[in-house]
Amino acid sequence: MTGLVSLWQVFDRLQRLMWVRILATILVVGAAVGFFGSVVSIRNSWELASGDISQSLLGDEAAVYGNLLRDNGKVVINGMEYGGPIEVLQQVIDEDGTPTDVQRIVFVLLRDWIPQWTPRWLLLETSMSWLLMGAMIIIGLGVIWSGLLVPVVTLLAVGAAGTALFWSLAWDNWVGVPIAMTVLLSTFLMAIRVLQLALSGRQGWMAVAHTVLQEVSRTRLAMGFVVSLLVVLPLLPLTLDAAAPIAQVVQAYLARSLGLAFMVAALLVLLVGCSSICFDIRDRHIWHLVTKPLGRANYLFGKWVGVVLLGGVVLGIAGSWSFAWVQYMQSSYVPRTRVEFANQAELMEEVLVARESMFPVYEELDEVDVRGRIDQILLEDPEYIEFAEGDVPLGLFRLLRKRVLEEFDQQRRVVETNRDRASRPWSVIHFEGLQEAKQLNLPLRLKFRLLGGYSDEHDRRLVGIAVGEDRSTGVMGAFIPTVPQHIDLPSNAITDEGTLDISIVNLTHIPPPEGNEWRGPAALEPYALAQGSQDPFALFWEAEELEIVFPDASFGSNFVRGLFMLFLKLMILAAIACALATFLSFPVACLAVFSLYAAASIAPWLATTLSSYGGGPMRGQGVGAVIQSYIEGMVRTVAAGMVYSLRAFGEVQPVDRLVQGRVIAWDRIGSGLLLVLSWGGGALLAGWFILTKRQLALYSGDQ
Amino acid sequence: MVTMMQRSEAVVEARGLTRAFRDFWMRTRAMAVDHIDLEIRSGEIFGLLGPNGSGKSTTIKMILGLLRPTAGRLAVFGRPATDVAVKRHIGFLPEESYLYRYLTPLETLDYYGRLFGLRRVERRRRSEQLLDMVGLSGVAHRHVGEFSKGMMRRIGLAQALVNDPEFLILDEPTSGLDPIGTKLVKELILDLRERGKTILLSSHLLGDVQDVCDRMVMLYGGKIRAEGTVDELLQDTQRTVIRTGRLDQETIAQIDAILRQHGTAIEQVESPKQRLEDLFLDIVEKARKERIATSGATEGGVTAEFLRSEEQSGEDLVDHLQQTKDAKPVAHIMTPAALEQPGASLEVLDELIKGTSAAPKVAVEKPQAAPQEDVDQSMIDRLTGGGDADGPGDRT
Repeated sequence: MTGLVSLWQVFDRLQRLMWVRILATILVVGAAVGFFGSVVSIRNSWELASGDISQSLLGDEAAVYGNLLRDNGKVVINGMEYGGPIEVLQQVIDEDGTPTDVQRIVFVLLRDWIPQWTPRWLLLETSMSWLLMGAMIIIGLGVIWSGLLVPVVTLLAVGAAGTALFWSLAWDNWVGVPIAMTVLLSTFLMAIRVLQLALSGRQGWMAVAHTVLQEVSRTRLAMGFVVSLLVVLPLLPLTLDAAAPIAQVVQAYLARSLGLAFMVAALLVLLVGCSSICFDIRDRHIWHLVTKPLGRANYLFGKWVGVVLLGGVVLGIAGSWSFAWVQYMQSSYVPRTRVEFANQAELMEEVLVARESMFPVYEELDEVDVRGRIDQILLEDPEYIEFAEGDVPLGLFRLLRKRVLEEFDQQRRVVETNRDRASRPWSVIHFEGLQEAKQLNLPLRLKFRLLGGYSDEHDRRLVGIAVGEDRSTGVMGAFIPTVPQHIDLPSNAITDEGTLDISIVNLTHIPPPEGNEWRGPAALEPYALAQGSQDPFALFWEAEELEIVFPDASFGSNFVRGLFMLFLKLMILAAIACALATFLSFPVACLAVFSLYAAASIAPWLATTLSSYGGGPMRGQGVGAVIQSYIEGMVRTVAAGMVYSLRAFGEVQPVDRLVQGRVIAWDRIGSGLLLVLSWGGGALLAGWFILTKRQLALYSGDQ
Repeated sequence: MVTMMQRSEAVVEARGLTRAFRDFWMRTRAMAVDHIDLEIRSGEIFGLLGPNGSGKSTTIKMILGLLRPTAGRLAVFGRPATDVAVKRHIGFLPEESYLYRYLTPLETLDYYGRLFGLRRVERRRRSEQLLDMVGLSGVAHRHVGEFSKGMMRRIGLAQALVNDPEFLILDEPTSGLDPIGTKLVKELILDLRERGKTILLSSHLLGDVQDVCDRMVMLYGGKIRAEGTVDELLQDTQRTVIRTGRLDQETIAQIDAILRQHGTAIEQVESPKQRLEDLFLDIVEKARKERIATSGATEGGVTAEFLRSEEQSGEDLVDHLQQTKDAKPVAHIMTPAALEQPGASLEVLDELIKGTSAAPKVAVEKPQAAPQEDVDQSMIDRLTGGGDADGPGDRT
């Protein structure tokens, strides 16, 4: 081990020598120009020859050349001899010498002009070759002159060795993994170096941020996080179920890769944010700093910037890799069967998109109606009859109010059956905010998941859908309870005000026809009111499971927005970690910040469950009941406070939206930025105040 | 570079400076610094002495703004100690070097240089000069975490000088250093003083403090127990030391007889010894000339060029000396007390040592009996057998 370290140090010293750098530069430039130049040269030659051959085979003497090829298998055109297998040429040249497929003849005659080592996709675009050559030279020079030559070359050598090993073992699925890992790690090193270059200004905070990045790249703990992520990422595709539909595979990969990337980046940010400042104070490095003209604000800001940039680099590299792999999965998927074509369509329409969604706008109850309904319950329910006259306890009032609102909410998401002639078996659902879709003439899709009866997923029933309140020109189709479905709608159905009404007609009493197609146009009301042969049931749906969606952006731009939202979350976490580190010891600061992170992440779920926890009148009597009631009250208060203060952070879930193909709207990004300013800025401000007031020298006692 | 202070103005001024450490109930747990008045003047080397727990480091921390005084006033360059702008002119070497272990010396100096707003080219130049000065050029690319304590002190000293400070605070600067390094530090301190820098030196190594300081205070229990120049504090007015060339026993006996006639006697006769430090430096110098390799710090080079750029002109020096009555000459020359006593005659002593060889000198100490009287001419005449004087001459 010592020998390896010594060898590394020798090479490290060598790479700093000027002549070594110049030599390496010449080699890199030479290799880039040699390789890509050859590719371009081959392409140009191929194009020239292809042009000559095509012109000859399409010109006046086409038959002459054709006969020569057919008889001899070779021909001389403009001084160059071209040849190919006679049996193949005879298939594309008629007996009179007329070429029937000039392009194929060209490929056959020039098949040996393209060396095996030449990537075919490079030959298609000359501009791509120039671009890659430039990138290789820039990256190569950056690596050489920034002192990264030895680590990058070592990494790539290890990766190549691993790839060769797996190739020799015929482990096809693993062949690309080692080189992918080393490419990711090399990219990380280079990105850190670029950032350090960007932070080479003379401002104090830049110097502090620069040193944070140096600290991370030279301490094992931080690098352990980074390496573990960048090593695991290329292995993730091996965990996917190749037999599943491609849309599900891509969704699973997106969820896992981005989820893992953010989790590791967040842990890294929290850890480095705490350790960098805590250890500076504990080990008194800060004495050297604050006795220089570096204000506490600059110090804290510099630490925060360094930690944020670190998290951003990790997230950016992992995110870029995920995006590239998704593109690879999408482009390499070749459907052959009808099911596979449907899967591909689902992938392109449901996952690799960025759709805006609009939910129905329902009727609301005003407080007078609420009070009226509460009074009715008090009168009708024997349990509460005693409160019908007189004052209602506050706890009971809140409980009944909640019950009234929930019941009303459920009622407006129900389509009754035709059994009771008093109620109509259809509902009109109102949508608003569709102006953009109308202006851009974007295709609309109504997505829904209907429930009813036993919600048996083996059941098939009929439902009718019409645009507006005119149910004479609707469509009918089969649906399966609990299974999400959709129907496409024309954007010209949207009014000028951006509203759209949809009628949902309950036809569960009529057996559905075979197939999944929507049939129409048809008059739906007669069907709805007719007698059927099946037991009907009321249709209902959960909140947010009936929506209209339309494409609002590309998947790529949406992906970038998602990464940016995740980056905003990292900024907040970094600020909190840095702030806590100004006055807590390292273990306590870590505990506090990880607890906050966990609490903020589960806050949305907590908000949902909190509504059904405790509250209402005391259950039972006696001391035990009183104690239980008070404990529940305290827990509710604490949880409610936590939810109120942390919920905003937890509700930022860009990965879920990316996986579901939903757009991350600009207003969400704006909210995220506000969150950074308020939470992050507030945390940094508090940290600065604490650091300013804190006396950094300890009483030694013996000096 | 514009200096912040005119010569002789106070760089640090403390009045009633107090620092108490209290417990949770606000009871005073320790009075680390107890109402001290302190003034460090521009261009002097000021010593801060005291046993462990006397308040030296606490005082330094308050000057640097790492601690806030509980009471009293403290001004550095006329401004509060916590003023960030003041730090631009201060260099600080703490007792332990709290440097980042994962940085190399070059990176360390570059980092701190950036905090002072130095340009990249300037940072590079200063870093190289400083590393050369402290003898760490050969290890510029090694991580500081691999250094020995002495090497860490050297790089600590270098970082304290990167901004060419006007006011340098050194807390135990020679701690952990070998004699080469110690010599380097002391020479550097004296050199910097000549360049008009003000230096606050805190050390337990009293010899080092004595060699370089102009003024000093001694703390105990948070209070100043003694204050003054080196000579004021260290002069033993009860004894006279006379250095001569080597004397034979007969001459020594004659001197003793004469002294006895005046109610005193020789207390001790010895041959001066070479200092261990000098012996060490000689050996190292020989080894260096033989080009024996070392993997650690090397002997330092000359003072960094950028630190020499503010050398005083002769006029300034004269003005400085005239303005400051405690000013000391460029070379600190140890003189026996006898020569500085009123009435002492150089001619008389020249007579006393006439005819001696160039062998190691004999220190003749006059014992203390009654309050010291001057050595009078009659005694010297008797000692030399007649009193014929050859006239005034240089003692050396």
